[in-house]
Amino acid sequence: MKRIGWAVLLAFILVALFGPGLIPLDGTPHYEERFAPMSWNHWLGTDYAGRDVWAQLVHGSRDILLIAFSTGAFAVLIALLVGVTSALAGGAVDALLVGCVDVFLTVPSFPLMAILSALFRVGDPITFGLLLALWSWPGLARSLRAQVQSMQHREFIEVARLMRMGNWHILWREIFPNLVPYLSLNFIMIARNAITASVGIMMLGLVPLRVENWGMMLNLAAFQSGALFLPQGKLYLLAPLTAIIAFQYSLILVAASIEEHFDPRLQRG
Amino acid sequence: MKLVELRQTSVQLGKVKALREINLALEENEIVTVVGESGCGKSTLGRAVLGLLKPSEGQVFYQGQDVFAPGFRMSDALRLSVQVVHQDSYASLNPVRTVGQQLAAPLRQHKLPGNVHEILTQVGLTPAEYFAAKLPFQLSGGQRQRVSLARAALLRPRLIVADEPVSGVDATLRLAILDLIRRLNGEGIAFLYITHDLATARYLGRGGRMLVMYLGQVIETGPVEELLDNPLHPYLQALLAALPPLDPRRAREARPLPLRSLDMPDATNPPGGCSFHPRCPYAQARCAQESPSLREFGGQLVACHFTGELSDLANPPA
Amino acid sequence: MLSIRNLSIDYQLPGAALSVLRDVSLDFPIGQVTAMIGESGSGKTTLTGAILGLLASNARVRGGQLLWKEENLLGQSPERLRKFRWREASVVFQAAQGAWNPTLTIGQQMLDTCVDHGFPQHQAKREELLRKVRLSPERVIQSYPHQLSGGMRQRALIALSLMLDPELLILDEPTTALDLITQSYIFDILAEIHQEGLTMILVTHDLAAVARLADRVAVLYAGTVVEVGTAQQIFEQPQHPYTQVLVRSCPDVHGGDVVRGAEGLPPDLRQRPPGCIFASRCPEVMEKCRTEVPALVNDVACWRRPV
Repeated sequence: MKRIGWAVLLAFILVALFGPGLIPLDGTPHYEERFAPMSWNHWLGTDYAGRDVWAQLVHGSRDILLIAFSTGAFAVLIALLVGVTSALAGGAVDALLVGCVDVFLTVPSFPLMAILSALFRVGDPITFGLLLALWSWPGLARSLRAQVQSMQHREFIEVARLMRMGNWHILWREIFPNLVPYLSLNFIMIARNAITASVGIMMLGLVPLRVENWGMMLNLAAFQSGALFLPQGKLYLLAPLTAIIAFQYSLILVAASIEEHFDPRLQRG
Repeated sequence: MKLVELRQTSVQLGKVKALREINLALEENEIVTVVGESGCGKSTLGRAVLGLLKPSEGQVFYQGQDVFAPGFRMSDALRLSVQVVHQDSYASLNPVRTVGQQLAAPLRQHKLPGNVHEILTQVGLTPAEYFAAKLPFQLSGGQRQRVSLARAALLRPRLIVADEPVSGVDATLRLAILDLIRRLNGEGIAFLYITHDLATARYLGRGGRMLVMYLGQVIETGPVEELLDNPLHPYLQALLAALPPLDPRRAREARPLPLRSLDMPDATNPPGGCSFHPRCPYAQARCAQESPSLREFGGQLVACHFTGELSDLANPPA
Repeated sequence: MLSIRNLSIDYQLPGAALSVLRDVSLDFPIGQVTAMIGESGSGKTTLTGAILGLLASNARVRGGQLLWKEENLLGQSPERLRKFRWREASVVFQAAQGAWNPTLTIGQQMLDTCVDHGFPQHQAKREELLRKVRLSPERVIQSYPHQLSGGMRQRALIALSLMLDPELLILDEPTTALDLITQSYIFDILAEIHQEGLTMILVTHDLAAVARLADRVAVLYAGTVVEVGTAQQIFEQPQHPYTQVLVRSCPDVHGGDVVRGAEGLPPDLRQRPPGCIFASRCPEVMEKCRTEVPALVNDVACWRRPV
């Protein structure tokens, strides 16, 4: 099962890497061809403006993957850094970092992002990911801090200290493997939320709008273009939905396999 | 050489004075047992010996050095000389690493000679290759304790604090682990064996000293066999009376316990004078006013004003 | 009153079935304390669960009957089992298992038990029972569980279990994890209750509890009954090699014979070996033991007995 996850994810990555080079994206509207059915010209039909759905899906994949991964990666890395340092250092450092986290938790995120995107032009998906990560890292940092703190009192950590195993060993060999399942789950959830969040940000005009973003496609299909009400529109509606679901699911399977690697208790037998 | 010494050591845990002016010196190669009921402070004593608790009064010495002296930094050698085996065998091991990894790591960290398979064989976990690949959840409680013992011993400590090491292990397998501890003791490691089970205390601690604790104090101490065959402090007498003999006929003879009250007093506010006096069937006026210190009596040290005179007092238990 | 006949139960695990009880037959005579002793993996907890109708969801009964006054409790409706639990049979679990709801007072929970089972609230009975377990009703009724010590909670649990006058009381490790002195007077309380005629089943691994309380003893090993007898017989003349090991592996606080434990470990119950379940560890094993399961003959399941 896990291999399916890796395979599907790999397929998405390959499509994202090479697809846009192979398939041209024609952005000009051909209204006479709106909501065309499947054909050799249009593998998945056309959207409300007669543009090819498959091409949009392929081109959108690159942005989606980059946004999802970079949001997840930035959020997890920042949360890990802040949460673990805070828990292990204690004292003034802890107080300071917790203060920062609390600020981020209480400041409303949309206005924050509006300001940030006005200050820094968000052109590429990776920066976009960083922007979205600002939303997600504080909650994770707090719970990581709590987990590391409680782990400090577990007997096996106490023994490691009595054996003078060194902070580096304790962090990476004792504590971190116990956190991986939690981290990978959060990575998935953050990546998934990034896709939806990116749509919201684009709708607000904070970031250049890209029609081929799957989230955007879904939004346009469901709420903007009447595809929801027309039988011919179902391809336009289902294509991005299926792509998002498939991508999410592959992430879930991949996360499960990473968890198993770090927590062998989860392996069968 | 005194490996660890506690001098007039008191430890405050929140509102409770968990250790009250304890004096204890642990010598090389000996096995010292500490017994008492829950709340008596025996686990706290273990942690104090491990140097994990800063005393509110008194000092903790490791091979003559005061480990809580301002500016003192404990060397690796000193730190590694005292190790621990916990009661909860599962929590003592990292749940996501194999036995082999957990034994190899300290060897590597401290560049010690030694071979994981040899160590596993020495503690009776054979075939070694099989056990080295196992995760803690795949082992029984007894096997996990053997791994904990192996881990504690591989750093060649001078002393291991064993806090209820066999409580969670099945009865038929306990003795094998206690025998293993005696073997390790024969190879030069001293043990502080903490337990509430008087029978295993005798089995493991035979030939050595025993301390009986009550509400943070040592109330009787001496050779194990002496204490258990000839208990002098009323509390120890009550503990021994509370143990049903392993013979149904004798076990059912109605024997009220020589105690005036069944429940432990509140540890945040221990009784004045002798802590045991509210429950003691022989209590006199002096007991409520004056706290007895440990006095010598027939090869033991007992904290009671009326040691040796109890049968004269002979108040019937209420 | 309660009879178990040829009961076999498996636990369904991913990829394998764990045979946790195999062909267990036991009687629990009225008015007596029958102890079931066994170590971890012996199946005694599962047996308790089976009697109370509280088996885990992955438990599968493979055969046998559980007869309560001639009625087979296996396969009864949840409603019938609910009536059975607490009114006809009640249970006292191990202290650590938080049987008390931390958000309600002890007194309230005792009355709730009455109400839950359709009885009127019985304050007088509540006080009588608390006194019987040597607790002061004035203090305990208004207390929350966390305000009482472990020993007091356990005594209150015994009082709770008697609220509806059950005919059968099951005690699962009632004194494990409690101090010596606390254990001692809980034994006294249980002995008094027994003298009043209550039938009790004592499930434990603690031989001291068995010596103090039990009239009859059944020894369980890896899901099979290996020996049955009076408490006197089991302690003075254990027949089965496992019972002998069990009784002799208890160190005596007063010194005495050097005792020996047993070699090896209990078998993997995912695949019961053919033959006697104790064969892999038995000091007296012979060929026949490895191939044929000994039946319980004269209360011992061993090919070498009677000698």
